[in-house]
Amino acid sequence: MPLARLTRITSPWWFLVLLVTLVISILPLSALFKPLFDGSSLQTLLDPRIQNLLKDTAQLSGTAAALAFLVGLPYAILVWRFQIPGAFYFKLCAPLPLLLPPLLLAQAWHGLTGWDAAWMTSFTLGLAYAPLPALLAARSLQNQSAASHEAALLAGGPRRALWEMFRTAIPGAVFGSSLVFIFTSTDFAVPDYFATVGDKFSVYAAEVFHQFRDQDWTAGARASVPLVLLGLIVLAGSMQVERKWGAPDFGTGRRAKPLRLTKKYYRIGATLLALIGALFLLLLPLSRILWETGAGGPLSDGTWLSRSAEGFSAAFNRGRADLLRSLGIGLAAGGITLVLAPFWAHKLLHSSSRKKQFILLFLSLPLLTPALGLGISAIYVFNQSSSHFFYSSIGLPILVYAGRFLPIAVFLLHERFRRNPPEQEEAATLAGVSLITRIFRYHVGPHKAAWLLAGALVLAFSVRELDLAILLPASNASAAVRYFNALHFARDNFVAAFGILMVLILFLPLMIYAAFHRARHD
Amino acid sequence: MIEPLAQLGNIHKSFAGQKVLQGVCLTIQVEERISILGSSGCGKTTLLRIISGLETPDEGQLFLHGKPALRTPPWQRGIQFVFQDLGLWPTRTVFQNVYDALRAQKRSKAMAKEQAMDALTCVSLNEHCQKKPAQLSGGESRRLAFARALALRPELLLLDEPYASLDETSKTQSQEWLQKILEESKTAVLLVTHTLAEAEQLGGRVMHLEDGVLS
Repeated sequence: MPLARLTRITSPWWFLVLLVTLVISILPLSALFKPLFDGSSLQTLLDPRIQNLLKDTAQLSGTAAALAFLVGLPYAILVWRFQIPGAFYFKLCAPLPLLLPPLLLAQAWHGLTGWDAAWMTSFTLGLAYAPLPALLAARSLQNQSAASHEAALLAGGPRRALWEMFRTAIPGAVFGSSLVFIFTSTDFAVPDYFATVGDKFSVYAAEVFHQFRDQDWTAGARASVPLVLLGLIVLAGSMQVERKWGAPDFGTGRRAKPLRLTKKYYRIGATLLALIGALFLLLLPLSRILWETGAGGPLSDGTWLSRSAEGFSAAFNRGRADLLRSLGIGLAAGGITLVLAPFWAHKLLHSSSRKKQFILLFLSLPLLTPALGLGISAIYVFNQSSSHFFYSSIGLPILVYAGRFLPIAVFLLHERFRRNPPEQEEAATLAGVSLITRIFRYHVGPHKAAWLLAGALVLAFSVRELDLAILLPASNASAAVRYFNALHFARDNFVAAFGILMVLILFLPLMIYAAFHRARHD
Repeated sequence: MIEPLAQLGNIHKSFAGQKVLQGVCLTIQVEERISILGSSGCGKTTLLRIISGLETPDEGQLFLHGKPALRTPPWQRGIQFVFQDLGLWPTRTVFQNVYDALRAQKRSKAMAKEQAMDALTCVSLNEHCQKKPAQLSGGESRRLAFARALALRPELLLLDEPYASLDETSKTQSQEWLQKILEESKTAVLLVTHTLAEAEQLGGRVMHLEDGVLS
């Protein structure tokens, strides 16, 4: 029997994994299916007000996606493909903004510039999600073979080599930007914040929320369907771009290494550009929030330090219970994904390209759905007399978060599993080693740190999730909701200090991973 | 007296304290064919990378047409390289792989198009212009790499085990293709391989590289 066939033998474990995935990923979404298939949700599209709202949302999200592309792509090329001082720290700065609550970034940018209005939503969310095109471009650049880079260098010098880097990275960056479009178009909190502090404007996600509050909640579910469809269209388009213009670099040998810039002023210029990128992505907004922890008006008492200390003390005392609750929910959601993600990452490894796209789309559905739509649907599904106990327990947010963020863990692990020589597992398969042992010993084994990181990322995303936390009763008393409420009530030292506390918790897993990763490579 | 195309003098190279090349001296005449035989890891590829400028030696000299060339950028040396894993640009079509290289050398669009088609016709890939490299067979990929390198009309072509991982039939076909193309061009060739038969097939001088020493 050919080896490829051997790896396809189905294990009973698979049915269990599929069942659990259906429960955490698809069941909470199921209330959206009826309006999706009976067309009732699309009738709302005939309303000119809704059409304008969708158009404005698409424009706003398109601008954010374009900004993320323009910032993320050059940042990835600078940091991953050139030897510049501090490259390790610049790389570390790339994923961190993704872990920050976008509302915190909105607060920071509003504080820094004093600007509001709809375009500031595009600006803030574009920078908040710029790491997505940057990281996906970096992944492509890391896979570029040294030979194809050197062939470009021999044929046309550095300019041609640089152009080849762009060609290699663009499909990944386009895919990342389409994700930015989806996340931005479904975001409720940031546009709501800028509309509160400045001129009023509305986005489609707010329409979903108001439908949910004003009428019956099924109206909210129905209203979110056009946004899901818009997201799916953009995603399908970007998958086509990746399929058409992206291509696996099939060189078997060395990977292209970061280039050394021989001229001093090139090196200085590249470092300055990377620094500007890091400042805008992370350092400026974080510094602003940190400054706000001790900021005070002309009549305030004490020094910046004393006010900051008071702010942190208040944040710790008043927000501790919410932070712990958020952490508990995040840990449980992360734990579930730690078990499920390796199975799906392994499945992707052994799937044809078409099947792989189907699985990715299936797993990504909860992530692509607007958080508000997912929350409303989950309420509709679980707020029944038979499941009311579960509905009001922390079990519901754990289940919904695990399903929503599972694709992030799967994607990360799949990337790692691809690096394992297939012969290792094939030999194990021939020797009769069970599926679970193969997955956890031969695939997870060499990438334990990445496996733990995947769980930690789910934890972090669960802690920063706001839109869902506002809706699901058991997660109302969470860190993200307390921050949202406090920010709308007053912009004081407590809010900033509480934001920084959340940032520390969110950054911690990645920082630990990065420190260990570096120690191992040094 | 005609200046040699390339002269290497007393080239030394180490990686992480391990000596890979030790005092290598080599002269390559215009249009000459040279094969270097050696086992895996003996420094063959490193030698080619130093000649092309992709690697710098720790010590030694390199002259091209009698002029010191160690500081000459790789793309200005008139040298092309067929890498062991080919280095085809995976996002570009077969045609674009050759066309882009020609455009990078400042050929006009019309000329680049014509020369790219000529090069592809020469290796019988003109029917596959719109395919991506991943859609080609092993032998076809190699022919594309030859076509791209030779379309730029280099003075020296470096071949790094160009037939590795090909089956016997594809290898024979590729060798025949290469011979045919080389007969028509006036390019000097430096081949590194670990097979004597491949070296003999190319013709010209055969040298041995062992423990970083060329003999």
